[in-house]
Amino acid sequence: MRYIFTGGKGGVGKTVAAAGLAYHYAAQGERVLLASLNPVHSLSSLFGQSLSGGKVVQVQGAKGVHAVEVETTEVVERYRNSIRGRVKEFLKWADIPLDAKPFIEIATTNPAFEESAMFDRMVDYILKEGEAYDRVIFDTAAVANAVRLIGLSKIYGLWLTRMIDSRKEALSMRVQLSFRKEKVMEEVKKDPLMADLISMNERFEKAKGVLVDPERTAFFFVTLPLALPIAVVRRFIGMVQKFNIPIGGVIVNGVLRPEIALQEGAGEYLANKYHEQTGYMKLLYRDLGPLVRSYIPLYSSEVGGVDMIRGVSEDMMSYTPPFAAELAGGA
Amino acid sequence: MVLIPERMAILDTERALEMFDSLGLQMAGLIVNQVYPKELADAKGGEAVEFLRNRARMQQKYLDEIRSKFAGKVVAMLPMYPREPRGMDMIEKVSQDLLFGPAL
Repeated sequence: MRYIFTGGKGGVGKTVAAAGLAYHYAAQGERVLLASLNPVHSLSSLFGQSLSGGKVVQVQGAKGVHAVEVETTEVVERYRNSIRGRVKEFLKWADIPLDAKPFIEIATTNPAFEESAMFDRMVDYILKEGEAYDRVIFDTAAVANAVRLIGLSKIYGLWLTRMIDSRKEALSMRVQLSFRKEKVMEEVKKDPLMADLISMNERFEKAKGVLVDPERTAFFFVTLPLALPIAVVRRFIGMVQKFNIPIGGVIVNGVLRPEIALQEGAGEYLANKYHEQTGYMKLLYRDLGPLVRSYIPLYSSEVGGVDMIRGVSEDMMSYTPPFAAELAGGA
Repeated sequence: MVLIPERMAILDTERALEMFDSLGLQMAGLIVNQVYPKELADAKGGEAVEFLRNRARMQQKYLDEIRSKFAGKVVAMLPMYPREPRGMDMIEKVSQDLLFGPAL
């Protein structure tokens, strides 16, 4: 397993879980890359040091952990330029005397554009940059996006195949209509749009091969012990299975420790919360028990800084709430 | 827009507001959700109380940030309920708190 993805409903602690996993594997001696694919990054504020700028940096105080906040603006701009080139090339090639601008505008201002640019970048990390690491952990935006991205690759594949076919058709027609066949054949051979489409298709196919390989990829779902985030996880597990993406397991974040919540004088508030959590976790455990991999306790402050992340990684590997220990023991 | 008094939520909201601005859209107001009662931040007592107190203080810090960053935009505030709000009774309670609850 080389590529790990963390996903879940917004605000459940995906980044904290991803950081905990990264720390854990690095502590085992692995060279780890933690890549944030979120539209709003939080690695810098989580680690309490600057990890921004879109470049991979070694995390201070966490040997073996490298991190990158993948820049969307840069990716989007690069994407926009290449689309500009492709559109212009296409109009020139097809002898269409039109202003390319509106086409470029339309192609680059649709809402899924940033998402697919990010997907493109993720593919880069899987096929290129990731090779230099023992493990790459992708902190993905809400899991819907992650799954949609993989769905997108399927659609892109179909679309590209269709495009390539119709281009082939168009090219051969052009050759027939032309009086100067030799000249046109030269153009055909160096048509950059065709070359682009084919290499894009190959890239996606390769990435898809990695994404559906349980030896190389695992998706982890992060949830809070509450009804709604658990429902989201349940739904996404179904979606992910449909796309044949291997599931690594479920990580439950924000778990109240009974020794804090139930101690004398704790008050009704925490006790209520604790019982509510335990109720939901029992349901989760009943339905998805074998998939629950680890628990992250609720700390008395927001997780921040390398020391707390070390604590998270240790708790992820060792902490079992009493109810889970009882159920596992009784089973 | 709805947000909770935490770092990420504030960042996300800022970004969303930028996008709104760039499209010429107006945001009608902000609702801050899951706010611990202020008394908790000053409560005295053992470890459990300390636990809640720490979290309440962390929230107070972010509430200050929300006050200064989104001045005049916050239209309502909802408390952190002892239970996840589900069912008609709780929804009625939420609606009462939305309309008549304490302001930020």
